[in-house]
Amino acid sequence: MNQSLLVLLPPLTLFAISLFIIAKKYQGFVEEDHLGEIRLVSPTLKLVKNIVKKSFISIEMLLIFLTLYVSAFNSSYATTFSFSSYSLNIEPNFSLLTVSDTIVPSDILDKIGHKYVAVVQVFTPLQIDGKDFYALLTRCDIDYYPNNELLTILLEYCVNEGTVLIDRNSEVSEKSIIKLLGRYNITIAKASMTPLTDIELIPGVYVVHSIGTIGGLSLKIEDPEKLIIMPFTRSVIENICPRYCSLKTIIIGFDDYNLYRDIFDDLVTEFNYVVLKEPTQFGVKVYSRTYVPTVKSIISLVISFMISVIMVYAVSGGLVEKLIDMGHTLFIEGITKELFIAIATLGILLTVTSMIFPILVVSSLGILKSLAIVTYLISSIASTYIITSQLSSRIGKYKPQSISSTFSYIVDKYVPNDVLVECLKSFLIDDDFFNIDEIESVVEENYYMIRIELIYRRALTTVSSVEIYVERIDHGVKYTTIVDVWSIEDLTTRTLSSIQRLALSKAVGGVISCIER
Amino acid sequence: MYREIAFKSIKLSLMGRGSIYTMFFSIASLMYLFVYRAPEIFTSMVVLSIIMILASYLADKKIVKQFVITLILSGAKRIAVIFCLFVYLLVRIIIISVSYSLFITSFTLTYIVMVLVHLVNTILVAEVIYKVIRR
Repeated sequence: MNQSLLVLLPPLTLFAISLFIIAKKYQGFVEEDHLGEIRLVSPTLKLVKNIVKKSFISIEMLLIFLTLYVSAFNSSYATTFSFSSYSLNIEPNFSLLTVSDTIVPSDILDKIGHKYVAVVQVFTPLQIDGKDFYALLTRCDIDYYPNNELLTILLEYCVNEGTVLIDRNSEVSEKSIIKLLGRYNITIAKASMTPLTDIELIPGVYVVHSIGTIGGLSLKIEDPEKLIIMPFTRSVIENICPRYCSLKTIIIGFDDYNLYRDIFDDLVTEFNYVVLKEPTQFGVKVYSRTYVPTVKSIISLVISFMISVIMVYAVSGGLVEKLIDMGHTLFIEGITKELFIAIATLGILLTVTSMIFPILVVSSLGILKSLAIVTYLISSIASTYIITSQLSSRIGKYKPQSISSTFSYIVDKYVPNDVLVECLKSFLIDDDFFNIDEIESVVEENYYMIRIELIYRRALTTVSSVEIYVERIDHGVKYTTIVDVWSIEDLTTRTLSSIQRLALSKAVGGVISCIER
Repeated sequence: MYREIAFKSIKLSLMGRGSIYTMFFSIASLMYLFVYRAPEIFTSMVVLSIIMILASYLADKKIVKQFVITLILSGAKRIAVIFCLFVYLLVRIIIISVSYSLFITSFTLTYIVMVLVHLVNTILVAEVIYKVIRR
């Protein structure tokens, strides 16, 4: 259950952050750009920055990230117990077997408990009296003697410090051994090595030196006379391997299964492979840290990818709408559709790429497996593709809501014709978007009308004609603004509609400010 | 009145595009759960299903918004609107939980807690959606 809670922690934190952001957003928060010093900024850079900002603060992107993270966690967890584990149908006499190509650190030996036999096979031959010997270093840490056939054999070959064991048919001089090990009180004992050479722990793995099996033939030391058993101590290793030795460490454990299960992660990290015998099940399981893509891991990757795609399809609609809204503001200012899609792709790609860093950090710490990074990358590329393709397909079809080009404003304050004309002139003279071409007014008996011809500054021949009717009604004055836009340029309806809205807002803003002046 | 709202919400929930995504998600999660029978995977799939419910709402955001606004305009009280949203989300949860119910064979405390978390989460999400639309 603790591990389950650990899985929940990162997504729940992100979920809490997203909820906090939403709560903040809907607490009457008004996005406002404060007026600041005018600086020259690259427009493209600013657009990309805005898109990244917009993506980051949107709930859709947060959901996509949560999905990508949880999928990455999923595939990483899926690999921990299935990636390179396979079963062997044998009934061994041990509960643990670990194999490593290096000398294992002593702290891991302390964790393994007090019922193990450690064997180091030194593959570099030792020259003793002109003959080649293969050293086998042993250490036995056994606090009680269970009735175990394998252990009984192994214990016969456990040597104390100061003792060297050779085959009963082999001969070595004490002087050579003293020279080799660099100590004086050495006892040379003799025993038959044949039972040791016959021990096969799992198919292809022997207690004596072996380099595996080829075509059913095991390549191991067959001649027991070539073996020399020494104690597994630091001084012995330093003496027989002064520089570098090719060696293999095998630890055979006889303790309780649960003890090994608790230190399983350490074992898998330190050793090339770990063989565990579960008491309730027949056979053994071999776990390896070398990850090879298995069918299960590929299924995990594919399903994670599918889930991300489904999720992205579900939430992309909202994000695309937001980007389209942003795009329409930009189209009025002359940005083309292609440029906007390119900017949006870059912005989303930057957002997605920047969010890979938490996963990279977590996987470098060893909490996540590298498959998590692969899952994240594949899913994020797919997400970016889906969002941008939806954006490019919908941006052409999108039609803005038809808006009324008329606005009426009823107040009790009457502003005379000439005052309103002067006021509107002063209001529109410095406008960023429109230039006043002509302004005229017609006064009738019941009403007066002001007609303003505005030229859109960011196009060549786009003119907006604004008519403002002011008439007295029962207890007040009605100000009606009608805006019409026309152009000889080949502008889309959408662009014209946007300019119309802009002109209407300028005119209405002018009228209201003139009334309230 | 509540019965009518419930029927309308169920129809809305089933007709929406989000329900198709939810069904696909349900199939994918069923496959995942059957390939990996581990509590870690189960818990993370539950987290994903919570995200999926939010995502499926976002897929149908427009029609749900219209429906809720219609309800508000026709004088429905706050509790009725939240009830409608709750039913809407509950249908989605049922679609997802089909895969989980095939996976779960016995009800342990963890699973019961998960179900409770889902229900509380749904009520909270319904409340948040109501507030967002009402805004």
